[in-house]
Amino acid sequence: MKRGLNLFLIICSQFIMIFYGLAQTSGSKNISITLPTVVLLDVEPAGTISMSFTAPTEAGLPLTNPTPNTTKWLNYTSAVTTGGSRTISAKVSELIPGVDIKLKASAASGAGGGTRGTPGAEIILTTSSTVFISGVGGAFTGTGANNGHQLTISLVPNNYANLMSQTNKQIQITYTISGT
Amino acid sequence: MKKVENTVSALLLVMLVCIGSQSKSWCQSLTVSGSNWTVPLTYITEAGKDYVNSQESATNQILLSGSGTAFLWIDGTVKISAHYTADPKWNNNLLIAVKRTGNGTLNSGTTISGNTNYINILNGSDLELFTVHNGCGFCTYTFSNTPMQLQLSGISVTVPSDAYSAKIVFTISY
Repeated sequence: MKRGLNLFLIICSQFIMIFYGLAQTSGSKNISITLPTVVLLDVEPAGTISMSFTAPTEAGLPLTNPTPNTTKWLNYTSAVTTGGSRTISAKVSELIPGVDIKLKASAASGAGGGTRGTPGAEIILTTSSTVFISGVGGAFTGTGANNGHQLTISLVPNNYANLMSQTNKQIQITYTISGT
Repeated sequence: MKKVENTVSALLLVMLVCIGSQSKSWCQSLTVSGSNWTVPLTYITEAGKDYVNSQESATNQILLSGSGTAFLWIDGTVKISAHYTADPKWNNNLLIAVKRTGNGTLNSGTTISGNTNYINILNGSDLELFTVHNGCGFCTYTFSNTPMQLQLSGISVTVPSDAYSAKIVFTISY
């Protein structure tokens, strides 16, 4: 009789334990990774570009502007903290009297992913940095030509009174990605 | 006669306790050894590139050992499940997968099956990885040092820069 009572109590206790869902046996290990901020910028393909005005063949006609150059592509990799954003700016090493050097970036294309930047309107380059792409978040563009932002660089006269004959004038365009 | 009666009672008691409680003691147990895994990064050396998307740990990064108990008419199978939880911060674009790279040491009659390919585990919700079985009438069966490999994928500059850590929790149950 007593044994029967004990058995009954044990059964009851087990069902109580079921209902209270006693923890199953478990153990754990940790996995961790640190992703640092990253910022890398490149212009591809490497090398200089050459652009020349063509002299008019008849008195009274203007110079013929060089065909805008579209061979350069801007590649970048950007890793930012939550909410972070970067801009890309450009400047020239010096100005050419009477000539505007203009720059326009296309929307990012090709390989890549993430929050790539948004190009602004065409800018006239000066010796001070001017932002022409904004809103770069965590992103990568892919490498080489046909990946990233295609650049359109053009030369146009801005004031004939200031024009001077120039030969092999070298201008350096510097691109900078900045922000956190 | 009395001895037989006592033995039967003891068996019943063990069975009831095990069925009822799913307890940690002699019905089933799990030990997780090996080491934590700090995922190495291959640094980006060229503008436009992303990180290598996935990394794998050593094939024996984690070792699982445990036991289950079989009864006369109750199938002697335990299942090993896993999930992860942020500890303290994780990004769910980082995908954690685990696979079993060997059997470890099994006692006589014990078989182990499943999880020989990577299974992505979930945040906070257990997913069954593999089972350990022994059809003996009444016994405690064991597996020890069953090696597990981890994989982390989704590694990208598109994931906000930060230090991330998660706890991978393995659970044994009937």
